[in-house]
Amino acid sequence: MGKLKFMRNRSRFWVGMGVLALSVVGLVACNGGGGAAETKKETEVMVFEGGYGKDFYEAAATEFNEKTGATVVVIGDPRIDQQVIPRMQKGSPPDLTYPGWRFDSWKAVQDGAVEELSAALKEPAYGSETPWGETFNPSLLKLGQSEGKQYLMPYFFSLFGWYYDPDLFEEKGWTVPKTYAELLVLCQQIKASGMAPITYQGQYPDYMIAGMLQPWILSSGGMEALAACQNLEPGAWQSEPVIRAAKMVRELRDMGYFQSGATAMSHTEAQAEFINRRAAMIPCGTWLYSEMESSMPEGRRMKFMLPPVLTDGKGDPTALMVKVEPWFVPSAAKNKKTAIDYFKFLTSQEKATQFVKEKGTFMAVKGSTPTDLPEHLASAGELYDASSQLWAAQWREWYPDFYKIVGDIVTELLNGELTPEEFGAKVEAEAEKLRANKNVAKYKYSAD
Amino acid sequence: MAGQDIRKTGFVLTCLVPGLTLYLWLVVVPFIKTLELSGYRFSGVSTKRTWVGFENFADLGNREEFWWAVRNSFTILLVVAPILLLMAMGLAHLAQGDSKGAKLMRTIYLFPNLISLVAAALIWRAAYNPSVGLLRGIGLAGPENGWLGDVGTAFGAFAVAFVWVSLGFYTMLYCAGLAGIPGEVHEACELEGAKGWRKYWLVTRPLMWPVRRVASVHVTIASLGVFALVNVMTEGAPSNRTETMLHSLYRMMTTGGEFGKAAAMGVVMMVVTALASIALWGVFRRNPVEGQR
Repeated sequence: MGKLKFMRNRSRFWVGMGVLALSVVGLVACNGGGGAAETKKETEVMVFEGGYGKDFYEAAATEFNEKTGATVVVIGDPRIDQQVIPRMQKGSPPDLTYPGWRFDSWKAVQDGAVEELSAALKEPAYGSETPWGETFNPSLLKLGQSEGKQYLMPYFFSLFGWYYDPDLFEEKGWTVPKTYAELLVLCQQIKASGMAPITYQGQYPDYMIAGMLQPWILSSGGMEALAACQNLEPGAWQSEPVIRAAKMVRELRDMGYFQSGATAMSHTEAQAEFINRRAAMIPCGTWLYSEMESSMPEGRRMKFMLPPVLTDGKGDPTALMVKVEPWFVPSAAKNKKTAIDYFKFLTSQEKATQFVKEKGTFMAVKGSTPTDLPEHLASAGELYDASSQLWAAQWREWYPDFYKIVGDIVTELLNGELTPEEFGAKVEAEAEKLRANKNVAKYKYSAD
Repeated sequence: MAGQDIRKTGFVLTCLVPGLTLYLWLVVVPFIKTLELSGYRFSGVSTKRTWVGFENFADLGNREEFWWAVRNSFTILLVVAPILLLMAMGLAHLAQGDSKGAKLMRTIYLFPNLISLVAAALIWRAAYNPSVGLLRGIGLAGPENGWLGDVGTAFGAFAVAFVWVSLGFYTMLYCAGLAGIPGEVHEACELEGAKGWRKYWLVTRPLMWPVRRVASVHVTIASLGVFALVNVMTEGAPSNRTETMLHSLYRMMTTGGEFGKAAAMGVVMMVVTALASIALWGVFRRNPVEGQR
């Protein structure tokens, strides 16, 4: 009996092993199925379908294909990053992509997954003798460079500042503040009238960093101070200009000039406060109008203004923040040449002008400055034309983790938990951690 | 006899092949790959991976975000969930019987479960809105920055919403459990003179053991897996006070460019879940009713 039982168990064991082996074979078969990558003739362009849609790129691709005999296919989606990411991971990326703000393009650059375009920029632009690189606004082109090499390309861009309602200001007899001193006076008036002077998108501290902290670091200590922060120079985040900027933020808070509860508001909630005249000013980018258009009260106007500056600061009072969402050619792309040619076509004088006309935004291509813009953009366009210093928050893209942490610390400052000095010390400590972390590639911001 | 047995076993095991294949493919392989991935520095936006051993775990440990996420997830599990279950048990008792109150209770306790989680999150967000919110309207404006904006109250405010959306389900479970206790037991209790707390502790509670076990397992899974509510209500703001482990993992993976760290977070969550399971197994190992036989 004992022997029989043993045999039975042994047989069972072997049948079990057989089943497991079969399962594994099935597993391998399943995995192998999708693996075969076919070589594609089509040039794939994956674009983020944001506020400006994908129709322009599609129409341009049709036109480009007719002209050149290429087969450029445009794939657009509001969450295109979810398609680009797995393709990048597999090493079979699209040939050209504008993956949108959610995609961490600088990480891809750091990993060597983005094609260097310096040579292409020396070639003539589409339908022109001028080198392609010279057709761009250099301040914007620069934002895609690392150590003098071009990786990321600009296309359209946004400006970041504050918005106000000109009708409301006229009605109440308020004047748009140009200096911080004027701002304090105005805030007092607005508060006395029963309205909140300033609201902000507190759930995303990004707006506060872009609309107040950085402009005031720049205004106080000049571009060098802000560049030093972006470059994580030792002590930069604890320097006098940073403390001064934090003091200004804290002062506005302590005086009750920020709308109460703004820390908890999402971007749309805070922006709704602004358009419904429960707050007089708000920091935001030039997308504000289109973002809120559907819920805007009839006839509501808004105009762009620069964050009020310090009169005794070192910064250029016309300094203006730009935001670019980059395009790039993955280095593992199959049809790089066609992809670059198509992007040259998209950034040609003709197409750029057309984009600006159709979409009503600003373009990184020289000479495509829009005319007949609606008021909410024209007010920004004027300041752009008048600005002698464009700057960008590149550390946001370079060090997204650090940026998030700084955002959390800003929230603590806004909640009154930190003094300006403690704020500086806390950010500097985080900057020190990042400096010491050899695994994160460091970049350099150059003020022009 | 042995031959027949082999054939029978063979048949059963052959039937297992498709299921086992799927299980290996969809559970075991991703599980192993996650473990493997947690040892790589991997941004997720290229093919480049660098083996770094335990660096991702060390990096996680250096982040405030991680500790807040752990702290919040554990607070939900160890503080909020027990309160939730107690409340559900209380409501379930209130919903027994034929009084008007009980009928009303039976009608309304599942309302929050009828709307989708995302809608519930939006409702709570709107209610907490410090400018136009419902709570402000009824005189509960809260701290200066609103309930969800203040670092001191944000988690509590979030926990209230969590309890609100979860309560109905557990109440339903307990109602079913109470209904499952045979009428004779109640009669016997009355004859013996057991009432109120005494009846609850000595009779109802032991008899509810299987239901309490199910509810505890479920609430553990739900507590450690809080995601949608955070993602819609706060995205972890302000200053990570409402961050949870799963939401933090998602953020690192989708916008943080940190696939390796997200995988490490996944491994941490797996260990935590395993420990929680062992603890639950310890608590609910023996059915007290069976034990008394």
